[in-house]
Amino acid sequence: MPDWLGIATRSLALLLVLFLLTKWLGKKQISQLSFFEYINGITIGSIAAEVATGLDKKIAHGLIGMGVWFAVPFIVGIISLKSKTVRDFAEGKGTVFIQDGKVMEDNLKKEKYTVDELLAKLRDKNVFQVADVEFAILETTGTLSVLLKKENQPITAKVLNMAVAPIKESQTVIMDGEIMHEPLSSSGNSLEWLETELDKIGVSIENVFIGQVDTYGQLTVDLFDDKIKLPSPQEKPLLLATIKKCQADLELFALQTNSQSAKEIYQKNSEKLKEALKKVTPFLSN
Amino acid sequence: MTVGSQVKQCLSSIKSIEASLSSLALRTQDTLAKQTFHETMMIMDEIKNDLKHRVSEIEREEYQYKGF
Repeated sequence: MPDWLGIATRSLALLLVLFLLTKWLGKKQISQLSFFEYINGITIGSIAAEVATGLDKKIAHGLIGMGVWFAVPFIVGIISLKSKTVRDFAEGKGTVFIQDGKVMEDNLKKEKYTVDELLAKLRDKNVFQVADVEFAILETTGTLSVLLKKENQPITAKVLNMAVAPIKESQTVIMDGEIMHEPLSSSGNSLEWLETELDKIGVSIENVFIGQVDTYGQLTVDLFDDKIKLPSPQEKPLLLATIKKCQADLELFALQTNSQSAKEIYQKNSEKLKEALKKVTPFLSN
Repeated sequence: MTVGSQVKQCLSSIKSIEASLSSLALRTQDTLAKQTFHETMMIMDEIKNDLKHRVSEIEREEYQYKGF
């Protein structure tokens, strides 16, 4: 067997083995959450490369080496699931860099981090002032997780005490001009519905690059032809405006009429509509 | 536009709101949204009945407004 053929067959075989091993170790290996997984990834790769090109080495030896480097993290991973002590030892613990807004200098020294590096890591998280930080921890992966002080955190609907409508993931029903049948049925719509919606906005399915259905069953599309201007979905804003108009109308009738009983009926219904409007507004305005 | 036809217009707007809400309630994936749309539909139904009653009153009082 010529050398080049040997290298090719070895490479192919090792590629397959490497693929299977990584797949077996799972996604955790790819994310390299601990230094254990980090060195393990490098070493298995190096052994594979070494054996693939070094024809004087036995392929079985390489496989044994890879097997050991695969088995140990695999077993440790299983034990780690059960025991917190093993987990802490094998995967390490995060180091607290900032607590109660104060920098822990000793911990910085322990992880060999300089002030500059800490500041750079904070800037990486869009924090330019240490005083804005309440708590920061260096994870075992080497990334810094930062908890800002409450007043520096972005405003959320909860902080503003605002009612917001719940949201569900949208379904992509058209890709590259082709209908995706499974997402379409999980969005609870039929093929006829999709055709009607496309007719409504006046585009053919071949022209649609991406089509998505949102929580409220509204279809939004992106076209291949970017010159065509599409109207945004009008159904919900229109409905909200109609409710508002009816409420105003009822108030007006109440003012205009001379009959006392009619006035009361109009007023009562206007109040009812106002309540309904308050309740339904978060769902209709987005 | 007379008061009679204005009230009738408002009544048909309420009917249209009810229908839109019903269609939204059917299509929405989220249960809370579904429930809210349904409850609002119920309120619309009550208002619709009151308005219908009022329309027939107006028609009785002033006969020339009768019919759509």
